Amino acid sequence: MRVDYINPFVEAAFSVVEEVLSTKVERGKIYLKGETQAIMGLATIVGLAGGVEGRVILDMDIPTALRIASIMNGEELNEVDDLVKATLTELANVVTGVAVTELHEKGFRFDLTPPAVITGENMKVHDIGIEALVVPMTLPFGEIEVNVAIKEREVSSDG
Amino acid sequence: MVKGTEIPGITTKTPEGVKGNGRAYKVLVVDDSMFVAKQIGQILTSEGFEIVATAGDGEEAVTKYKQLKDQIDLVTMDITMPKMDGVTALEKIIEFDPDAKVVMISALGRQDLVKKSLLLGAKNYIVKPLDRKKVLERVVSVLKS
Amino acid sequence: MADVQTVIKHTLIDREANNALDFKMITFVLAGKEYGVDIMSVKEIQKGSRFTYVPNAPIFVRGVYNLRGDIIPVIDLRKFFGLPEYEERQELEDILILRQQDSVIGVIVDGIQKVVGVNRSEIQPAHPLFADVVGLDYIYGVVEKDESLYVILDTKVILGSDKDEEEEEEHAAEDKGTPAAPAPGAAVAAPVAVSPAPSPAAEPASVASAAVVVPVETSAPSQQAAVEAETIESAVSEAVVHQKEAAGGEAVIVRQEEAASVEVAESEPVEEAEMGGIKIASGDDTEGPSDAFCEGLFEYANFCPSELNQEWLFKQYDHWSAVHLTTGKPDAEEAKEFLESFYSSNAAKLWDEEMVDEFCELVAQDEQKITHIWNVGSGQGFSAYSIAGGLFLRDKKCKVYATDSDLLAITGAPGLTFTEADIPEGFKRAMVEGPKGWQFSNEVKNTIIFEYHDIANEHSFPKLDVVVVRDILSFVDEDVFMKFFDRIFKQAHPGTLLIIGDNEKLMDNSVWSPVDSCCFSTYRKIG
Repeated sequence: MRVDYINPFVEAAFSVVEEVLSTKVERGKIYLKGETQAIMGLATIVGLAGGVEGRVILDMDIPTALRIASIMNGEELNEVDDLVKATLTELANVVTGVAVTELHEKGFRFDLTPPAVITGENMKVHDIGIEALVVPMTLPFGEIEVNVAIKEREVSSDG
Repeated sequence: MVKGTEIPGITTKTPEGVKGNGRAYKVLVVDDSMFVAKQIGQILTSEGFEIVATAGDGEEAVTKYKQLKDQIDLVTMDITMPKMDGVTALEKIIEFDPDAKVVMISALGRQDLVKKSLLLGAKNYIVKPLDRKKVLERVVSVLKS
Repeated sequence: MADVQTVIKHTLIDREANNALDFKMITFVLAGKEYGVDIMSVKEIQKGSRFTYVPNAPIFVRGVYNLRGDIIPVIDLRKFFGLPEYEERQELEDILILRQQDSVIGVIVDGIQKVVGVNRSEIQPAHPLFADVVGLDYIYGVVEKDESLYVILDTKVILGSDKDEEEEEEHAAEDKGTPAAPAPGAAVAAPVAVSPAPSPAAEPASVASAAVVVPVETSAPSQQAAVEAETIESAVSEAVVHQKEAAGGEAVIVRQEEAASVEVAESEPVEEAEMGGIKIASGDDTEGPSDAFCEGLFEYANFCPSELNQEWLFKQYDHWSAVHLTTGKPDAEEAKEFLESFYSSNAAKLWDEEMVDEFCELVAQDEQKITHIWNVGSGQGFSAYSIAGGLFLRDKKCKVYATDSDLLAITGAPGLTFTEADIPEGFKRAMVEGPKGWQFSNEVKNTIIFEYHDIANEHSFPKLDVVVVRDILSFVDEDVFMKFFDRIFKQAHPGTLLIIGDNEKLMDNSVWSPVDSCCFSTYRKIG
C-alpha cells in the first residue's frame, strides 16, 4: 500500500467513528494481511475506482454491528435487518468518502462505488494480488477492523 | 454533536421548519440509503419540517420533483446513487425549475464536486458525517435566502 | 443564491482541513493518562517480551533487548516515574525505541496509540498542574487535540543527553544512598549509562524486523557508573557476574544462568526444491558453523543461514573461530559482532559516487524508456533516493517502487531530510534546501512510490527492469525466499537486473546469471 494512502484512511476511520458514535476509540497496531481474509461476521465493502482498483472493508462481529447500528439510529436494534445493513453501509461510505476527499486534495483521483454488505460466520474475502492494510479499532463494546486494499492501475511499462 | 441539547418546543421560538404563516416547509429527501433518508427525516421533522416524499435514486427524484413541484420547498440530494447520480438529477431538476432549492449531501467533499454542484444551481452542500446542527443550519439558510 | 466561496469555505470546515500540523508526536497511554513524544526522537516502535534481566541495574531498568543485533537497555516508564505495576500487562509489551544522537533505549509503556499531528504553536508550556505523576522536568509541554490532553515528554531529559547534569545527579544519588528509581536524578543518569553502539544496519534488516524480536538471555551491557550508583539495590547473588571489555568500551555484565525456555524452530534438513528457477539446498556437511551457532544467529539477529550467504558465513566463521572460543550457540552480543561485516556498504545512508555510477551503468538502456525498479526493504528510503537521484542526474527516466514492512520507517521516507554533511557531493544538484534541511527535489520524489509492503504477501508490480534487494533475503525464512523468487521470476523479463546484498550470492541456476560488478552482487535474467 502506497504510504500516501495510509494516513488519510486511518484518520478518516478514527475521526468518523468517534464522531458518529460519540465514543472514544482505541487504536490498535496497524499491520498487513495477505490475500485471503476471514471476516468477523458482518462486513461492509465500498469499492474504489478511478486511478486505482481497491476496496475498503469495515469488518466487525454481529453484536458490535447491532450496537453500532443502534447508536446511529437512536433506537435498540436486535437483528441484522435492512436498516442495520443500511446503517453500517453508510458508516463505511462516510469513512471512505472522507478519506477519498482528503486524497483528492493531494492529487489522487479515486471514485467510490456503491457499497455492499456481506454477513456470515465463515465468509472470506479474496483479493487478487493485493495485500490489505488493517487498522484495528477498539470501541467500548467491540472491535472494528478497517481493512483497505488498493492497487495502482497497471501502467504501461513503455511509459 | 448537539444532540439533545436543543429541544424544540421548550423555548417560545418558532421551530425552524415552520413558515411565517404557520405552515411547515416541505422537503423531498433523495438518498439511496434507508438509514440516511431516515436520519435526515428525523432531524428535519423534529424541527417542524414536513417530508413530502423520498426518492432512492436520481431518476425517481426527478420524476417526483416534477409531480410535486408546487408542494416542495426544498430537496436534499445524495450524490453517489444507483441509476442516476445526484449531480445529474440536480441538473435535470434545475432545468425543469430554475428556482428549485436543492441542497447536496454527500460523504465526498471533493472541491470539484462541490464547485460543479454549485455552478449547476445547488444552493448548498453538506459534507458527511451529518449532525443535527449542521443540517438545520444549512437548510434554514437556503430557505431564508 | 448562495455565495460559492462561502459554501466552499464551509465544506472545508466540514472536512476539518488543518494544514499547519507541524509537530508530529507518537502518543501512548501510561497509567490511564495520555502522553506524547516527538516523532523525531522515536526510532521505531516494537512489541517485546522477556527482556534479559540486568543485575544491579536501577529498578526501572527492565533489562536489555536485542534490536536486530543491537543490545539496547529497556526501561519501564511506570517504574521510572514511580507508578504502580501495570495490571493488564500483556505478554508482548509496547516499546517505544527512542533515539538521541547515538543513544538508543527502549521505553515500555502501557500502550502505544497513534501518530498525532498538532500545530507547534498550540503546545502549551508545562504547568505544575500536570506534574502530578511526571516530574515537571520531564515535560516538554501539553497540547489538546481531539478532546484529549496530551502531556508531551521531553525525551532529551529522559535519555539524559546532558553529561554534566548526569554526573551531578549521580553524586546526588550516591549521597542519599537511595536506590529508589523515581528520584529524578538517578532516573536520568542510568538509562544513558547503557549507551549502545550505533546500529550498523538499521535499514537492511527492516524486513526481518517484522518478525518477532528475540529475547536476550545472557549478556547485558551496562555502565559502571550506573551500577555503582545503585549498589545497595538488589544484590543479585545468584548471578555470576564478571566484566569484560566490550566493543564500545563499556563494562559488560554476563549472567550465566537459566537458558530461558525459548523455543527455536529446529532447522530440519530440507530437500532440494526449485521454484522460480532458484534452487535452495541445505543440510550440507561441509565444515562451517555448527547448527547451534547458526541457531544463535537466527535467534538474536533473525539471520537465516542459507545458500545465499553460505560463502560469506563460512569465511566469516573461519576468521571468527581463529580468535573466539565460541563454537556452540553464540550470545546476542557475539551474534551481533559476528554479523557486523555482513551488511552491504552504505546500507543506511546515501550511496557514494562510485556505487551510483556503477548502478546507472548497469541499468543503462534505451533513453526513452522508463526503467521500473523495485527496491525491497527500502527502510527510511536511503537506497531508493540513491537510485532515483542517481538516474535523475543522468537524465534517465525511472519509476522506483520502494517497499518496506516497517511502517514507521517507510512512512517517514517521503519526507526524509538530510544534513549537508550527509550528502555525497554529486547528489546536491538533485536536492533542495528547506527549513529542516536538505531533501530531494520533487522531480526526484515523484519518481519514487513508497509502499508499506511485506514480501511475505502478494503484490503486483508492472514488469520490473531492476530489483534491488540487499540484505533482505538473508533475514526471511525459506518459504518467503522461494515465494519472492517465484514472484520476481514472473515479473522480470530477459535482461532484468537483480542486485542482492554485497555478501549474498545465488547458487548456480538457470535463470539468474552473475554480472561483473565492483560495488554490488549483481545478476541478470537469462532469456
